[in-house]
Amino acid sequence: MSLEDSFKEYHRSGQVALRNELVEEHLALARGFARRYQGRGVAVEDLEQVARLALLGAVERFDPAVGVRFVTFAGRTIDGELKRHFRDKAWSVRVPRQYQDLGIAVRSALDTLGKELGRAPTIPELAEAVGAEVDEVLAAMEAAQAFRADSIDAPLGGGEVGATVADGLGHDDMGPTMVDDRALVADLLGRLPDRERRIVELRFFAERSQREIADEVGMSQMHVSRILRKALTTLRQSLD
Amino acid sequence: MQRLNNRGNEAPMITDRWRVRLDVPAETRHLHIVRLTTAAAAAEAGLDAEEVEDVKIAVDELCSIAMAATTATDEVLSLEFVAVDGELRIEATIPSAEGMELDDMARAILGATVDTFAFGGGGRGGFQLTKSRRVP
Repeated sequence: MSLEDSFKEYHRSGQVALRNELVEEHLALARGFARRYQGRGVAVEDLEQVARLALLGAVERFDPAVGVRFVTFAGRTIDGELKRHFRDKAWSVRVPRQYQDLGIAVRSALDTLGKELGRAPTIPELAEAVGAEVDEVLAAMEAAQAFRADSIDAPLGGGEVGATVADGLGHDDMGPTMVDDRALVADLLGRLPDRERRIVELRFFAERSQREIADEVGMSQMHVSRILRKALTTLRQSLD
Repeated sequence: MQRLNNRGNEAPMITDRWRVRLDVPAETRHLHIVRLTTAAAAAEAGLDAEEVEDVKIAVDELCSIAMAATTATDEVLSLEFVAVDGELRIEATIPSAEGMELDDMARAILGATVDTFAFGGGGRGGFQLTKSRRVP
């Protein structure tokens, strides 16, 4: 049976087995859309789950008589569900909808413009790219910090990076009185999950830029920024 | 006064073309106001998006450390932001920070995020920092 016939048959009969076959046939589509949103603070497994559920809904609702190709219809459905998931469920603090949408646009513009310009964009450049005012972009950037930094405990991809805490701390000019301080820092960093610790080390001890770290670990610059802020808050709290 | 300059440069003279003063209760729950003002000043100075985030991290760190030392419930953190083309300067006073020193972690964070910083001295307690736009 051709794919088109399968859809017609399922639309007519509603057979669960046929529905499941059609879903399985298009799992790669769901995976592909889920991957587009990877590295933005939500675990890829969660993204794929959302995408698969959206795919299921698309198969169930698809009407072959309408004349739209299933991949077009399903793609729109899956993408819409993923965007909705980000907007509604992935924020740990309630952020006004306008800033959630703008935050997503700003994050995307940061990466796109960064690649185009070969440097981080200025705020007016970002504002122009997303069609917003400078103060709205600044507010959206701040609001984006409320976005949940999921799966932070996961090991870093791309293998080990040379820099360590010790590399950044062993300077002679610190003098003997700094020994306790160094031990304290090492102890504090040791309390962070692996990925947070690595990103803190890269940024503050190896002095890599947020963009360099983002490229290295395969996530957006804004996500790196969020992880840094979260890690520093954790460190501060453990000092209290 | 603990004066550090991680790039080995003297801080350049700055004229106050764009100046904002902000007083907030010295409590960390008000830090978001400080961060937003910092971001606005940094954008005004022409810093790029990454530099804006960096300077927010630095200010967050310095304010958090200074606020952690407060004992009086009515203590106020006073900040002054000066932005000129390509450069941001922030000066803050908070009496509890007088004589305080930064630990290694804070120095590493500040060294990686701003050009110059000083903390804990000057007779009134507080901090100063400068951040310049990168030359592309």
